[in-house]
Amino acid sequence: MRVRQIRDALLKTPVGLLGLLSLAAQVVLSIWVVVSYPDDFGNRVWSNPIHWVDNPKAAPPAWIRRVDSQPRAEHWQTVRGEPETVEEKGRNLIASWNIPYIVEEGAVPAFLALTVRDVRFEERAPLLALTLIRPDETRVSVMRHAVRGPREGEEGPYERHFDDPLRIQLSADESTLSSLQEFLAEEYGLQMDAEEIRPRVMDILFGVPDATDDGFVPMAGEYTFLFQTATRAEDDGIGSVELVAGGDAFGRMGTDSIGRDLAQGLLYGLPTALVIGVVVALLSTSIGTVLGMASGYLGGTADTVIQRLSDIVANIPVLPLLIFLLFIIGPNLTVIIGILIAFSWPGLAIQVRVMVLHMRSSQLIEAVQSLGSSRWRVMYRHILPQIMPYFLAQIIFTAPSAILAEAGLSFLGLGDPSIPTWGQILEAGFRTGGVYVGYWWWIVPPGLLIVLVASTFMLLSLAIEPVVNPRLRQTRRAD
Amino acid sequence: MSPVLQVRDLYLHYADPAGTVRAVDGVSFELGEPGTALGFVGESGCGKSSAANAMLRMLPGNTARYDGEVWLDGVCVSALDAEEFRRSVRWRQMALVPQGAQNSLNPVMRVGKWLTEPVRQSRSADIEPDALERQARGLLERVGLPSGTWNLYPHELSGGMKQRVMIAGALIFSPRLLIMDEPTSALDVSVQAQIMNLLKDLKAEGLSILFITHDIALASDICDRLAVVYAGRIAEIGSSEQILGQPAHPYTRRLLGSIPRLHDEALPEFIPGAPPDLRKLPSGCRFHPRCDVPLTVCPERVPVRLKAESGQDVWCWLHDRTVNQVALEIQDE
Amino acid sequence: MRNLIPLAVRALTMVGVFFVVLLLLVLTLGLTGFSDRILSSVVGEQIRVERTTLAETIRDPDELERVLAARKAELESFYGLDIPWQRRLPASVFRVMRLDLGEARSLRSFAGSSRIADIVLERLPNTILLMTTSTVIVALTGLAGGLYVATRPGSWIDRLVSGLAAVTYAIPTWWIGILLILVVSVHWRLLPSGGMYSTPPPEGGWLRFADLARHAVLPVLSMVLVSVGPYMYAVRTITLNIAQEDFVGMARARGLSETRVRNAHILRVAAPPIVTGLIFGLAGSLSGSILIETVFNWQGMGRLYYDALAGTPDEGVIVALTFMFTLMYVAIRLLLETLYIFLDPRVSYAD
Repeated sequence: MRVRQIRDALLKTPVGLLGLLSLAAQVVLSIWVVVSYPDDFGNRVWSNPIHWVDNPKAAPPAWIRRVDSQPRAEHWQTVRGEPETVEEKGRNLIASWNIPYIVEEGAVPAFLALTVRDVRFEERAPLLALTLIRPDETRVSVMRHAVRGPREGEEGPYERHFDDPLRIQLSADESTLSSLQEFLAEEYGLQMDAEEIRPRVMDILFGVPDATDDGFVPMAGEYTFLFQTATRAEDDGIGSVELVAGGDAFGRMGTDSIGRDLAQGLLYGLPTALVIGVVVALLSTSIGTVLGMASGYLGGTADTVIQRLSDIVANIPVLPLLIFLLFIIGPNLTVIIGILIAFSWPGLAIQVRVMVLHMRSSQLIEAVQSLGSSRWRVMYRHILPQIMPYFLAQIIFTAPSAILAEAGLSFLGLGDPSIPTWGQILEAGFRTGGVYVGYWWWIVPPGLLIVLVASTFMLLSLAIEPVVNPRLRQTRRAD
Repeated sequence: MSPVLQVRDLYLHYADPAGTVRAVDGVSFELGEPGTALGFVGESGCGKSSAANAMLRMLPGNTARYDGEVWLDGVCVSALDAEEFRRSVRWRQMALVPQGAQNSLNPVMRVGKWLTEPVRQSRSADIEPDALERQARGLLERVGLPSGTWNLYPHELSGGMKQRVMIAGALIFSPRLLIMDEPTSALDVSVQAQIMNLLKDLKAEGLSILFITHDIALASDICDRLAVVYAGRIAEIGSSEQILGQPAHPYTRRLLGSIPRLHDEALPEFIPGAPPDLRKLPSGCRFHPRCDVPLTVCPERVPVRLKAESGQDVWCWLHDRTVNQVALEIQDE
Repeated sequence: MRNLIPLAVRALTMVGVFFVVLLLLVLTLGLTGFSDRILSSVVGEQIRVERTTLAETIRDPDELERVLAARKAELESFYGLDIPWQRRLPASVFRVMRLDLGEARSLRSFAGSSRIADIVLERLPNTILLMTTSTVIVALTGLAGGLYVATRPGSWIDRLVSGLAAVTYAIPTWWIGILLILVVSVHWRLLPSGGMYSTPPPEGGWLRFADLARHAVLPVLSMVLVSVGPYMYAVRTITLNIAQEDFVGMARARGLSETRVRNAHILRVAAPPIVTGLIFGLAGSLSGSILIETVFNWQGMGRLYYDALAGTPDEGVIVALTFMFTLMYVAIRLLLETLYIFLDPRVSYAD
């Protein structure tokens, strides 16, 4: 058996080709993820609740609205920089942003948040205002806010909200409550106190009062947010304004219970899974091959020691020990990979030894040795090439079990918190009870991705199985 | 008195993606008196073993055609239904010593248990366990095995011992007929000789033997009559003296010529060409592409049974007077 | 008895495994200082007990403290806390083997005890219950299914089993469990999503048993789903290979009935390799049961891992669990190896 046969088995059978294409696609996607994600994605983004504060919690993916009939607002978020118009009004400069927002039938957003960044002024602090122009041309003044003026002893020009953006949760803001009170009284002659309004801010903003009872009927149509700043000096202004209308459906994959965008986490899991699979497989098979060759070739005490050791390590119940060691050493991806390697090599070591013993007694090797080749040269030139195909096959067999093992450990809560993996996403979904309330978008995709990556390797191994000794399939799973 | 065994027009074809395998293709022969042996001789792959399987109705899953008649002591056993055949014919009247004796014993069954299993399993047998054990131990002794063999497992036996256990096993019901499929091919010469002597003794006691082998010399050692088989059909059948002394079929002559001889200057000849693929058989006489004396009729017509001058039956146009006449005329012209 | 030698060789390997794991546990604990902490907790527990008894006889608080401090020093030297951990190694090994690991931080046994041995041992029957049930079902369905499929190689059902076996290698057991909860418990509301009994548990033996059975359906089903494919496939392949052997054809030629051929000449010979298959699957099903217990909140030792890891980790419990699982594994392995050796007369020579 030659390496070429394995290549043919992969390139010329439909199963092998499918596996290779799938693997190639995953590798390309992984490279893109690695290049485009921030270095410290795990700590700074994924595990940082502040980063996800504007997102709806436990929202299903947006495409669900096309599948089920329940009305849902898609989570909506927009950031604007330069104002659209600037006009002089008395001593003030009024800058305006017109931001359209569409409300579909029955789909009132869950909350409304405004974030303003990088406010700069010479003398007088700018005034900020947000008005909602509704489809029926009624206008609601949603918010007025004065940026904090100069403090005592502070020198201009003044900078505000550069590191700590100004974030106003409009659905809970006191000024919003009072302006809504005014609006209801003027427009509909309705008298409601602040505490009555508080729980139904969104219903009022995006609906009209119902004549029969004191509820509000959602009003679908095109809304416009008019955001304005009033400044004095030419250079005064804001860096950007961001509006978030919290929906109950989010993006491509939905969010988890603290509002994390699952699509990002799931994508980030891909390179991690591949690295775990490939590194564990590559290193453990290398160790196994080297030890097996040494054992078979050196013989004597070295052989006995290596074989006894392989025997024992191969027969250890892996998962309990993995849990114990990870718990003691601490959840760290390098440690996980290291421990997985430490328990995955013996199968090949035993097998390679048998092959080496077999080859050593072959006529070719005897002939080459009698011609004066050194031991290591014979190993390198004659024995290693014959072992290569098994080496390659073993890599393919080991990779999925390593991926499954890491997922299982992460699921038990032993995952590396600085590097999100699919197992950890599942663990979070399980531990916070997402399963029991039916958050399928949190539970199904990460598992499917694990299966997808693992089965890619399974496809490859199915393709090369006829070429390689089928006994190699006796790899152990630790999940 | 009816012959011990009579086979008429036996066919066994297998289905195969590349075409039908005509392993046994209209074979008829007869094994006359008790205590005689018929040799079934031919190259490997000519359908000898399939003929044995066909007689025992051991049909593989891909059997495409199976018919013909097998008569034992004047009873047409092929007319019995499968269950009846299994119960009353297999092993009781016709026992087989297979080709691969090395792997024909159940690896997790002790020899004694294996030997007596068919008797213990048959419902009609009222034999006492002790009597059965005595009988079976007697058989082991008979085939020259130490009594300790009784408690051994197959992996503890040598090849020759296994072959003897197989023979002892075949004798457990004292059948009329023993079919031996290459019984000695895997054994070394001295063991082979011992087995052959055992067979001769058994024969002398009245057991009829169908001896299947590729080794015509070995067959002639024990057989009273020989049938030479080529590509699923019998080429020639007659007494051993006739076949060896005056072979009538060109194939038989070639076969005999290929045997190396002591004290002979001439080198053994080999038969040109390869045995035919049983899926793509030549037309007419199946031997004609390899024959050294082919006639024009040979590729066209399947030979019929003819009487050779020395008395044996032969399937070769050379022995047809009319055809010969025509052939000679053609040659004259 | 010639079978005893290979059995002894295998037993020695398993004893080796057992002690290597034990040593690894104790070494890691010593090196990381966990060992000291565990012993301190043992001493602390004992002092607490003695304080309450002594408080009745010694009235003077200073006197009490002095007596207790002396007693503590005595205990510390008794447990070897005053000598380096390397010298305590044999004692530590012995301690782990007796599960004498002191008290758990926050976990309690069902009866309210905080002794680690109580907490862990109490869960053992539940783990055994789940594992045995699913293993028996896997073995029976795998055997029956594999034998059935072996009678029709190449059929659609045969290909289905082969496909299932391959796919199984790529699916995490526990994820199947979660999916079952999502679909069967949450969406269809057919079966409970976890636990072993309803709250409050029904009175009466049969009702209680029925309740337990209802709770066991999903965990058992998940374990069966992921194990049965490879097992069925293995049985199928082994049986098909054996059915091709000469001695099977020979059994037919010897006039034996099909039933006899199947039972005595195919199945009997297939038994040892099938047991080997079980041995190879053992580590996997042990791991599988740890995770499945976690998913279904089955009150066994596997779920205890998860509980011990959550919040303030209970290291003593984790040590005890790792030891217990290794012990269980070694015990089952020895049982299977013994079975294998008595099933296959060839072993004594092959080894």
